[in-house]
Amino acid sequence: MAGCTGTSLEEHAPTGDSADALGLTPQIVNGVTPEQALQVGGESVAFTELVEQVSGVDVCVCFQCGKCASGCPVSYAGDYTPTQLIHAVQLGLRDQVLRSKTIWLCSSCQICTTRCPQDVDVAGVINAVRIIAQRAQVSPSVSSVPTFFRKSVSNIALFGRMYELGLMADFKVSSRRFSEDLGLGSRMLRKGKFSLLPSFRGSRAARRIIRRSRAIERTS
Amino acid sequence: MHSATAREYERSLLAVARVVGLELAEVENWHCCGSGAAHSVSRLLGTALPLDNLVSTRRMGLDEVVVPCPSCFSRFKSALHEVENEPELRTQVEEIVEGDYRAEILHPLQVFSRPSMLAAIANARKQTFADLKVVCYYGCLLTRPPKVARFDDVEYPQSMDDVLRAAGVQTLDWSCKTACCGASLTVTRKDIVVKLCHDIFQAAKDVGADAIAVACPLCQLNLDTREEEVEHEYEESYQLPILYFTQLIAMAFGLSPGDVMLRKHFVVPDLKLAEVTAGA
Repeated sequence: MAGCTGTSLEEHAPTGDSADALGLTPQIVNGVTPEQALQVGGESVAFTELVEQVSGVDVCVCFQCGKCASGCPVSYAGDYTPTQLIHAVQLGLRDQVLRSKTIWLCSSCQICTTRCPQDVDVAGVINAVRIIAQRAQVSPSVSSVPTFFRKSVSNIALFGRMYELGLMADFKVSSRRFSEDLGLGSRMLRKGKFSLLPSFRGSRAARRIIRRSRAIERTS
Repeated sequence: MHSATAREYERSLLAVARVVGLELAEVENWHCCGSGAAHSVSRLLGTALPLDNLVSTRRMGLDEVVVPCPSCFSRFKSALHEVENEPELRTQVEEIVEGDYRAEILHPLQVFSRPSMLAAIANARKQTFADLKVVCYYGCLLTRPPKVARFDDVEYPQSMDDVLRAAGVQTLDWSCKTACCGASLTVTRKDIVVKLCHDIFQAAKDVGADAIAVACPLCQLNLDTREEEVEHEYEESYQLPILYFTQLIAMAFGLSPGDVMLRKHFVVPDLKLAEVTAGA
């Protein structure tokens, strides 16, 4: 899969008077084409290709119809709609994508992926962008979300099966949210919704999988 | 389901399975599938964790896995779909998991909505719920994305309605069957979960529902534990119990509200419901 921004706009733009009349010729403002303003080039193409490689999704077929944005339950809370995010990936706007709130607010409900007429796995792209952002250690705009993911994986590595009470305590400490939902937590305890003690069954097998998976990723 | 959070789902599911003659065995030495969290850290890990559990299943001589949690259901199905379609990922996964992982993944709704099971459920009815109108909330991942889930109608599923109607429960049409409750954002951004749950409660109330039936532990947890905050935030009264579909069927089979642990919920069904289920 090639990046979407590998060729220049001029190559594809209609030429001649008719194109000018239609306003299709790239406008040069202050000596800069829109393409230069976007800084489309080697790095941006590399970012588009990296997202495609990690997600296994061809983002270039998206034509911004907006169905994903209209169905997205969290687009009201994000900075970019899923449509805008995919467009930004196509344009290789690495920083805008990796620093966006939207990538962390996605609930992975799969409405975008389901309704895409071009069969773009939008949720899969967002997930890949999350992975890339974490690997590149980009400071996340909604830091609690990746913290929760990491703490969940540590919890699985330790206990094999999720130990929710331990996960909540670990998450609260590392995200410094000691007071939020304390009342809810204690009510859940009283209602018997938390196991007090962890089980360690399955923990050796889970650790083996985590260790091997990390080893492969280090070498690939 | 090992955790205490959804013990009432486990208990009622096993009770229903016993009555309709569905034999279930627990996967030996299973571990967490990683859910969305592991997958958002590493696709390889998020694929290898569930498939390793399928290797354990195959070692028991079994090749069908009933997965009651839709988040797990989706992760298992996605993992199988991804290794089938991505040769490079498959090669890496097969370096990690040792053995055959091919198995059929089924949600309990898929099993119970088979014609033979619907008949078995109808035959086993001992109690009816007079005056109880329920909306079925399927959530996100049971049907989405359809090429992975391959289950029911993607936008307007019917299987839970069919199963509950067979058990004598009146179910209503409504517009939020496959809406999103916000899932694990309840830990990190509860304001979003409160907003999304409000939309679901309002849609249920608009059609005159007395309760919401669910097939997902996280949907149950979000709707049930955030309901009071939603009522406070939006100055509305809903008082809608959030019941596992298996709790309703088990009670139709004659189990008591105590047997299916209704008191574990934050919004405990009111007297009307308790009376009907106990006395009808």
